[in-house]
Amino acid sequence: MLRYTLYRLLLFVPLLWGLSVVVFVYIHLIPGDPVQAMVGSSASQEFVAQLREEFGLNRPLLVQYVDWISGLPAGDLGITFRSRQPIAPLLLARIPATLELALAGLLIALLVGLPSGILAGLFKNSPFDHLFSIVSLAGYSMPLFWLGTLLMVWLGVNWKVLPSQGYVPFTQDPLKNLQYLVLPAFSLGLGLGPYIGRMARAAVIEALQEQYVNYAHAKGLRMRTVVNRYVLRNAMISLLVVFGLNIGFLLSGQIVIEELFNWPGAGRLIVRAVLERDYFMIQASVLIYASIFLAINLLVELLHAYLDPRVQLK
Amino acid sequence: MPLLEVDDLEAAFLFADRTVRAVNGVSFAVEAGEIVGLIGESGSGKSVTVQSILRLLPSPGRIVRGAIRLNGVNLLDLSREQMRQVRGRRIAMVVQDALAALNPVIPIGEQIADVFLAHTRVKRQTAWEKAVGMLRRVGISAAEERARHYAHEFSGGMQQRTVIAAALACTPELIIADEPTTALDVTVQQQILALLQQARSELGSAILYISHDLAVVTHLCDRILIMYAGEIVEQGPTRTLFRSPKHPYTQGLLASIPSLHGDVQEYLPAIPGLPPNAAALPTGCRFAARCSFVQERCRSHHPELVSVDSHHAVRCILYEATTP
Amino acid sequence: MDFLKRLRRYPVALAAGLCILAVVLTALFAPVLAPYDPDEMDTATRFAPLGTPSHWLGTDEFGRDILSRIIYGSRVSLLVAFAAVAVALAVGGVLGVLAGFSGGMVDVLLMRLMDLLFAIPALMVALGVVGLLGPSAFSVVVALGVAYTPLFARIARSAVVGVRSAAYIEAARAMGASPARLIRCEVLPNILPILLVQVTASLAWGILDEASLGFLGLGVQPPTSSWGAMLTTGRQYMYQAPSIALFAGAAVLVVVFAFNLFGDGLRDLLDPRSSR
Repeated sequence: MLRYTLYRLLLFVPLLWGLSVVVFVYIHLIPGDPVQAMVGSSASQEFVAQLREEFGLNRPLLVQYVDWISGLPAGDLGITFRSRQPIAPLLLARIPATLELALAGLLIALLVGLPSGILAGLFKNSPFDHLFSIVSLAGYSMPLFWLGTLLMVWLGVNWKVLPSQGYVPFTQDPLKNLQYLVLPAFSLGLGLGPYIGRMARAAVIEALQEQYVNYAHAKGLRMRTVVNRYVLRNAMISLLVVFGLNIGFLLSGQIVIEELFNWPGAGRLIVRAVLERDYFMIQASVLIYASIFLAINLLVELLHAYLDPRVQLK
Repeated sequence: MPLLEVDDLEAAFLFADRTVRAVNGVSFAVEAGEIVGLIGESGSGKSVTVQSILRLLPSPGRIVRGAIRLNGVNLLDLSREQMRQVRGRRIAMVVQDALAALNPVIPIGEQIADVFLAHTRVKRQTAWEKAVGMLRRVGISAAEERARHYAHEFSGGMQQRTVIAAALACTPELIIADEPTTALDVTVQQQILALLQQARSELGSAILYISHDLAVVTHLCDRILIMYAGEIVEQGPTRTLFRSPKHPYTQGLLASIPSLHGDVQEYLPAIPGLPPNAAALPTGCRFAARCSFVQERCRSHHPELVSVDSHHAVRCILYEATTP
Repeated sequence: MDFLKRLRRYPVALAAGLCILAVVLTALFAPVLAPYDPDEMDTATRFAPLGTPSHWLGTDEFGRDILSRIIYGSRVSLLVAFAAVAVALAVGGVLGVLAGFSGGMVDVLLMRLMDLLFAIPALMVALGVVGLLGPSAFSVVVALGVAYTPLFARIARSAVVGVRSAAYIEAARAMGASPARLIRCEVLPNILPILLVQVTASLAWGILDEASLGFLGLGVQPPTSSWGAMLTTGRQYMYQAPSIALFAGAAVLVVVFAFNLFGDGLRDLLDPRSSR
């Protein structure tokens, strides 16, 4: 297990390097000149040239890349185009809020989705399963921001129970922080819950069809043993893998919910960077988001290897 | 009283648009300590018969009619919990695809220990030790070590041994072996068959051995049942059946076994044609379409199983006339 | 047709299919169906409430008729979704077939690239593309098209690989059948069912993702009416005119739900062994 972990961690380094190349090339795919695109076509040639000089964009691409990547290990992500601020501290300041919302949302999604999906799978074609299928499909079809808007209007605005916009750091006032967290976290969680529920149901049904489940019954094992040790154990492992592959939906949902509730997370920073066409900021945040994404995937893979004895052989 | 008595069993799969009649009026008995072979092609209903005995028919399968008695008690009348206690303890199962039957993420030893935990009042530690003992008994060396391994780390023969160890765990009165050697090499096949014979001699367990291959079971079985299209078409002691097969289907099966002693044949005759569709069975004899002795009456008349000798019965029009 | 006959056994899917048809017709005949010009402003009737006789669903901040804007918004949603899926189908199909037929390094490289792309969430890919091209309907089509490409490439590749190894293809090739003919006659009929299910599912995603991008201000730009953009403005005027956000979101929900139900039904219909 230790060897496998080290092996995967070692593989992660070239992966990150490859990612940096992809992101760098991608930004330079911009038709024409990035600076021209950022300042607009009305800007004078002298101004554009001056900016290119300032940001070192007139150097050869390779030099620019080496310059950029050599700063990365030290945490230097460059500076923003408009405000000329270092990017790393800007992003870093957003991380706690983003993480808090993501974890709370995921927790709610799991609490909602897992039990209902597992039950629906175990009692396939029962009335509960039919109800689950319809409700989860509807939830799955619902735009996340719409669900959030409804919650916001009902609970936040009409009843004035909970604050619907903004954020207070946990360190400043834990109680207020949680109050602000409730609506965004539930919007995210209830939006993603059906997704997880459907994956869980499919995983359980798949496991139920396995011969070892049938054979477990032939051995006369108690229902509880069969379900826990034979069905769920295997279903949860395959759910973990599917979940790892689909982790992106959590990140996507997160961006939308942050925007809706004015939650000062990293997602909003990216949206603003795209709207302002700040390529340096886009470059940095895409790199960071993709790295986080790859890191989560690595974590899922390691967890999978730990739970499933078949993995390490491959 | 026989150990197991299957009486007029009728099992069917009730799909929305059609009914597949997989087993039609099958009756047979297995005496204590006896080894009985149940032979048939795939789709003949032999596996469905077995699943019915254990009451583990996959949906939408139903037992429509009949009784399955273990020591005189009809299993179909038992509650779910009572039936659970029969499975694995009184009737154990050995399956064809051992790898698929073993849970991939639980150590081998624990899967055998689960059987003890389900049927006896033992602590987890004791169950584990007993499981290791079972592995040793089916000939797995370094059992303590091996018990901690997972199914995919075992060879095919060892996987099958593991399944047999789980089956023998609670000294069952009846072992149902559903083509346990089909997926194995010939040498391993012999070892597995020897293991089953050993189970009979040491534990006194009766064995119902399911196979599509007559050749495999000749040395193992005391008695043989031949199934075709959901019915038993011939049954009798192994020796009698081999010496004087009566049903044209049995004769065909025997003719297609390569002989080790006789003259080298130029080719092995195969039975032409395919078994009938179980969703649309013919009214007459079900083998008629493939039979080389077919008569006009075979197409309309469905023959009964009649005795031609003591313990030897056949379902064919050719022998019906001889009995009043 | 056999297909239609079988569809009748799935009343839910049939209803969903009819609902989709209705939406498509609404989009096509928007000028006939909409009571007003969606861009026509009327400062005298700003924020007319729900149930106003002349404006059933009320009016927005510029006095534009909400019902008309939702009807016209269906055009953007469907057009963008269909175009994006068409792009993904074409590009993914070609790449998948190429990878499947050529095998070797080309196959490995192409499919690794697809895996990488697949790993990145669609919205992130879309953010990247819109960042490059600037927000517009065209960018959204390109963005979602790129994001959905790996799905189709995988299906196409696995189908080609599966068929390629079949013995009868070897025979057909030996007799001189061209790859194009093989794809048309052998590959396509085999993957049509999976492809159809995937297209339906992707359309549902397309409509949702278009609305999400519109909501973030990165989709179709005002004053063109789109459901996503309506949700953004609707949120600002939640107190004055809750019906803007309410009905735009409901429209997205209904259409996406219909596509998903239809896709589910289609999967059951085409593959009896599927899990439902």
